[in-house]
Amino acid sequence: MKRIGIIGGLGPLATIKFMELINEKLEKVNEEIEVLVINDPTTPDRTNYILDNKNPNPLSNILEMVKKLETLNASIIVMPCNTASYFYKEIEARTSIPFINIVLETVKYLKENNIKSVGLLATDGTIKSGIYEELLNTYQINYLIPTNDEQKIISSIIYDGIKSGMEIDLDKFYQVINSLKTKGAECVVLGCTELSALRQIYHLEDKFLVDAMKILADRTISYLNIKN
Amino acid sequence: MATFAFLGNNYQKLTTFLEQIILKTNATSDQEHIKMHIIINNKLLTKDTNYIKSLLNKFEKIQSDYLCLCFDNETLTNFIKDNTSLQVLNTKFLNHEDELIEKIISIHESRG
Repeated sequence: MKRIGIIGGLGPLATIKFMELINEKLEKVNEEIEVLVINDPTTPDRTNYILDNKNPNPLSNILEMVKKLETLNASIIVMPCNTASYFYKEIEARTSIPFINIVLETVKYLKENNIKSVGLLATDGTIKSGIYEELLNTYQINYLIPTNDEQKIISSIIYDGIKSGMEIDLDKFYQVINSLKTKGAECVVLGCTELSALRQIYHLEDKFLVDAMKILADRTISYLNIKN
Repeated sequence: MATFAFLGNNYQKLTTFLEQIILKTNATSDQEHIKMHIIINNKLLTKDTNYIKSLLNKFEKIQSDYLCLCFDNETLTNFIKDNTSLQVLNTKFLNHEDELIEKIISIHESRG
């Protein structure tokens, strides 16, 4: 039996939206598939830790979720959280179950689609950690990020908007996207799963937006060779 | 903090239900939301008792506290109630979602 193991709660709404993306693929599937989710939203904020290591470290919560997915016999482990991918080496070292890295899969997708210059919308933690920048450099893809003021808008959308259950100012969101476009981005990566959730909630089908969480869902299904 | 286990046979119905829980939970940050262990098996209602027992053992092993049954099958529901040490919160699912959500949120808020 194929079992999709999901490290969830990072954040909880993004986890649900990821499950919806997986569900779309599983709708017409005949074979038996288990979807397993360990959802621990009490996991300390990943950006807070990356910006200041004196803040609570989320790694032990994440590794505990990995352990539980092992107990549930997951065939594959995925984690719909870009910022937490900062810990991908520790996760891979902890388990023999294959772990699909959202950041790596997104950068591979960009390369496969001949993207030469990309804008990144992400948390302060993802940007500071350099997890996208490092891989984009390896794949020789030019990397653009918002200005400090624009990044404050994105951070507010993520924390004061999606995570708090409040409304989003889409005009401001697109203001940042258009600014990256003007600077030469061929597309913009939604490199925070809360932004991916935003895309689903507001039905944003703009092809300029590359949704890292959607790429993760697609790669999860193809990795397990699930056919519908 | 309490951890709620959810067992279901329909991917989208269970996901929609979980989304309602999240939207109704009084939380302004991730860390205030509810801890969950979720297993969805599309062939759940055709599985034998050994498989069901192994699922229940797994929920106990990963330290779930409460169990929510997100399907409607009286035989399976009764079997589960007789074979788990977890507190089962419901016996009916479809059209009883709101009362189950209220129960879950109430427990979550009282246990902190």
